[in-house]
Amino acid sequence: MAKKEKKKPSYGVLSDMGYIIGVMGREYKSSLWINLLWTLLLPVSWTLSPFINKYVMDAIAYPERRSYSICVLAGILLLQLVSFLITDTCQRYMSTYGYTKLHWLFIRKIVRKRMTMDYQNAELTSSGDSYQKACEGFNTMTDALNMMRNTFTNAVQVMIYTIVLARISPIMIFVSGLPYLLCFLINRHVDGWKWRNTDKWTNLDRQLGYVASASSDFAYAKDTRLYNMPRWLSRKFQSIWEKRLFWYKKYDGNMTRWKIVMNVIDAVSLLTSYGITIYMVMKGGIGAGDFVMYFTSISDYGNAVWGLSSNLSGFFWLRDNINFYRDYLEIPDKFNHGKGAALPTGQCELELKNVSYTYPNAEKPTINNISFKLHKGERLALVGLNGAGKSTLIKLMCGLYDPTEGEILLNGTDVRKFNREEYYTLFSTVFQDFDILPVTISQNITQSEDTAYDGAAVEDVLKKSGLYDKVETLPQKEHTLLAKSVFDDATDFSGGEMQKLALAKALYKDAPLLLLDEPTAALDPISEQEMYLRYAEFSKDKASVFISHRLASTRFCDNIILIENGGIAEQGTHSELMEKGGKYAELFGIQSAYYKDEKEEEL
Amino acid sequence: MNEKNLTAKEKIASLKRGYKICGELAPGGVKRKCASSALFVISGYVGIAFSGAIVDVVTGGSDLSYVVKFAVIFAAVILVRGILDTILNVSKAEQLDRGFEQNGKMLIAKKCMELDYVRIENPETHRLKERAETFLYGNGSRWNGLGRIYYDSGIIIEAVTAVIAGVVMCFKPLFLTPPSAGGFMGFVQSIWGVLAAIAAYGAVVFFSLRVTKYAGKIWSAFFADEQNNQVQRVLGFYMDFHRNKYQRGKDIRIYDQSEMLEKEWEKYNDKQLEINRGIMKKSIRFDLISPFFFTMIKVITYSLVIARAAGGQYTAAEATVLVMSITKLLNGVMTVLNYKVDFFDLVPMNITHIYDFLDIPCEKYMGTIPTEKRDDNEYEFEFKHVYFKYPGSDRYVLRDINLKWRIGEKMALVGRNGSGKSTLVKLLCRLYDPTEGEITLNGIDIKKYNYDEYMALFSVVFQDSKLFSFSIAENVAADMDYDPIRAEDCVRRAGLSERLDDMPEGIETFLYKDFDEKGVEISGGEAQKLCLARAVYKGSPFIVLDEPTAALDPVSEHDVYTNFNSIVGTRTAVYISHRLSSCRFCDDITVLDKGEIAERGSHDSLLSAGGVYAKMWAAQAEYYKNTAGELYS
Repeated sequence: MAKKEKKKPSYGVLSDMGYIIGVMGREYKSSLWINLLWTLLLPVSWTLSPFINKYVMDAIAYPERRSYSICVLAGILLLQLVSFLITDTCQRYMSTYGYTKLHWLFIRKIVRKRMTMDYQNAELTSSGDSYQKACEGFNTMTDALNMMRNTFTNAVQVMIYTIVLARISPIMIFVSGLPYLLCFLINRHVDGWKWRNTDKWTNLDRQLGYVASASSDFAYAKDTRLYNMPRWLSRKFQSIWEKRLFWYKKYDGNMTRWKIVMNVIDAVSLLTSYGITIYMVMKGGIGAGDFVMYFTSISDYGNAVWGLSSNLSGFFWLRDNINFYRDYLEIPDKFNHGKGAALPTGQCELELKNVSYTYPNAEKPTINNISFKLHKGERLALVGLNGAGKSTLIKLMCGLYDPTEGEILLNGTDVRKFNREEYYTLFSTVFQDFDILPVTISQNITQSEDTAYDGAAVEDVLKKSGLYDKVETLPQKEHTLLAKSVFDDATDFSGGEMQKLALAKALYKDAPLLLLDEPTAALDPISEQEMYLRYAEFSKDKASVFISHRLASTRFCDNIILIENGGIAEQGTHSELMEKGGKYAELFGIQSAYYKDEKEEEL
Repeated sequence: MNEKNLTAKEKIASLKRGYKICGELAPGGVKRKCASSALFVISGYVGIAFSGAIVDVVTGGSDLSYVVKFAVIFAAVILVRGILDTILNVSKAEQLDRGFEQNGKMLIAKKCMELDYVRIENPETHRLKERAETFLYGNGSRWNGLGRIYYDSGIIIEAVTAVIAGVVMCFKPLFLTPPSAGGFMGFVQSIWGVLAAIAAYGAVVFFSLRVTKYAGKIWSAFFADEQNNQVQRVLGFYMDFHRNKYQRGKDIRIYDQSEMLEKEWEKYNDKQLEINRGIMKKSIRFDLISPFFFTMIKVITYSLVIARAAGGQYTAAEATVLVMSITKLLNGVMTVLNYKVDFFDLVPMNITHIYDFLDIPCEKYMGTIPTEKRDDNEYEFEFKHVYFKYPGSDRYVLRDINLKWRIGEKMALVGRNGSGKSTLVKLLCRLYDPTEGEITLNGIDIKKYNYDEYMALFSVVFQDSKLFSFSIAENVAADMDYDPIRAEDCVRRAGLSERLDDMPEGIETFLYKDFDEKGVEISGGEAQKLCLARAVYKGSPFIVLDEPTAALDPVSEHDVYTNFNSIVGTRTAVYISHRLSSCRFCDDITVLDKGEIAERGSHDSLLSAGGVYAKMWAAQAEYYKNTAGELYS
């Protein structure tokens, strides 16, 4: 991690600005024109004040030029009005509408990337910070636009005021500009400190956010009440906040010291430039109007120099953030996402040859040199203790991970040769961390719009998964929305129902390979039995893998593999393994003990 | 629909409370900002006087030494102002401003943890919470919520100061300078000319106020709009979904959900854009009026002063000072009036949304009777004709439950999904109160006991119990201070001995990698065991386990069962389970079916009764019979 942060930025400021403009130009042209117009007119709106003051003064002090001055004044006021009207319109358009749309364009890119990148990378970038940082990156896109606009405005201002002030004396340019440049350097220094030390508090910031959102998350409500957690969480927050406060105080202290220096510089420079102006006035040749113009220009010039320089340093901060975003988009994929070998049709078989898998950053392999074959039409049971590697094995089989060693063959072809997205279509899976999406029940099952699916098929899988009766009791049946936390009129499912929904989704897909990871953990005995009884039907003409801690489930599988410490410990049918009297028999014995007395009584 | 009409008194009360909350979130923050704003006004007018002095020199009115002195004073004022501002504001800026945000979040969070549990399932509560968040620290806060009070109160002070100082500066030249000419010029130079200008200003200000008020209403409606909030909720969901639920990436890939997910998100994003386009169209007209007003004010000021100066009423220097002062004065007036609309109409109204949430009453009867601290743990719970339905629902989840549980026994509660098992437990530990009937502890209604003491009687492991990304020890103790020996003992007793030995920092190890690179990922089974350890640590006489072994492998399951007595000790345990095998060692099994007690008794008696229990038992035991294989061939 630490190494990554110190590496050279992958793109420069200009490249990043070009990137943003490029995206606007390609995907949202009108925003580009509007921003251009806004940018060009902003200096007009903001640079006219000294001239207005000059002509007001001239009109007052010089009766002979009064009507001329008033005409010019009216013209300038009109120009200012028109440019304000236009820039305000642009601003309103962008702030209420344009930025939202632009934001979405940038979000869409990164979410697309997140959803299609190699799953391994998706997992890896979540445990690290890189996705979070990338998300902050697209928030800075609109900042970048503001920055570009302000920089342009300031640059124009600096140019105009330079010309104006040079008329008094060229020294003025340095006297009024220099202190602001010094201030800029000081600011840069303080910001640099902030940037260098970010590591010290990002974790604290995240913890603060975490405590606040976990405490206000109603999903934690039961636990917080029963274990008197409010006290703990408030204190936790307080203790993290105090650590964070230490850095804020440090920053404030830093800023305070430098700010006082800046104040002194500021006062000295003001005094000097007024001195020069007064001297020039005394020397004669400067009229009242011109004087007022200079007077106003001095402070405006300083502000413009200040703005320009701080914008320029802001660009480096922006660059780093935008680079997080762009780097994320360019994380290289290893999987074949292009054209691949033709997918087999009909039944499939999957062979694992000396497959090992080590998680990135892990020391020991989770899967260690495993070889077995999942034959056409075979029902395979994977059993083993928690943490033996069963779920990892499933992820390897369906192509979410690539083996670190060895190969996986689908009907004899190395799976890496297939287009990975096409390869996924061969699998129906139920993973342990099933969840719902805030869409209708049918959409959760079919993944397609509410109108574009096969209603009979949905009804069929709902019946098969045992969810049909529940769905029938809902007011809008399978068109009912899920996730009450998002929609008030939605319904929520219990754990068992969500698991049934996950199964329905897998059955609807009806793919030739069926992988089920603990599909009955949340079901009651009757539902579990129903599922077992229907399993033969589910898995007809498919090759299937069933993972369960309920060893009973192995009874309807053709082949059982017992995984231990990432390797195959035993393999065979139920009766073979029972006869062998090894680990499987032991496990089965443990679990059936509770039911056995009963059986013996019956006998 | 969310428009609230507050009386002046209510508005003031609302603002007062707003300032009080600001003071709690960031002590002294508002005062510091106000003080430094006032300083700016004073130095501003010194600047105006200074430019007047120079103009005087330019036009030959006064001598150089006077101006030089003035310049030194002016620079000194600027310096002092800057330093005072630094001390007042800059020196505390980050700590206070960030504290305002963070403590605001925690304020909402604390209330969330205090709410009656029954409120949590009410969508109205979610709505109240969202609105409170919007105006406390969300996107409406800085705009016209509490953030406005916190950050912008100084601007009012600044404006008021500017108006007072401006009136002082302008009064003499405008009202007390006698006309120097006759005719039309005489009129302009007389009090009448000033009054005419004031009338013109008044008209502009009046219209601009109307516009601001109307525009403000549009925006308030926008922030409180149900449809808008709904869209925000969906967008928030997707943002969060991709950020935090990377595990769902598996389904996204296998089920090719990416397109559907993007379309769904885009659908709501389009709705958002539609709403935004509407508000843009409505509000843009008002935005465009303000540059006109801005120009009008200038035109009136310049006309008045130029006309009067042209008539010889003022010197150039006086005119300069007057123009600048009037401009400052009018800006101040506009600000005060605009803020009157914002601060005295919108802000007080919007921040009542915060109070609405914070003031949700805790209606749960908190009771006063202390629970008996008994060494012999002689407690007896009794359900007497208990009925329960969820608020807003017509369907009874539990019907006529009569049940007596004595301490020291091991009891089981079984039934199919949705039979009301978990609800019964929630009633027992007072997350809900019965709709009808009562639950008693040693003959006294449980509502009458002191709530905290009563809750201390229970340790519950729920099916969906949650752990936090903090250290294992803190999770087990649910506190920052813990007894390390006891915590470790509980973790080991819950069956995590081996795993604990593997961990580099023992019970100090963090869960998950969110905040510590050395944190450990744990499986569902291990999480369940940790929740169990937490329940044991709490040391309550009554322990409820809701599906404790669902995610455990056979060996861990066996561990839990065989260690059950050592885990639970002399405590009373209630088991809720689908795994009927786990009920075998319970003394007393209650079978729930569709919200009613179907059967009750020991394992053996229930089996011979041949009812629901026997059926479920048979369904499970079947697979462990030697003949089971034939069933599926």
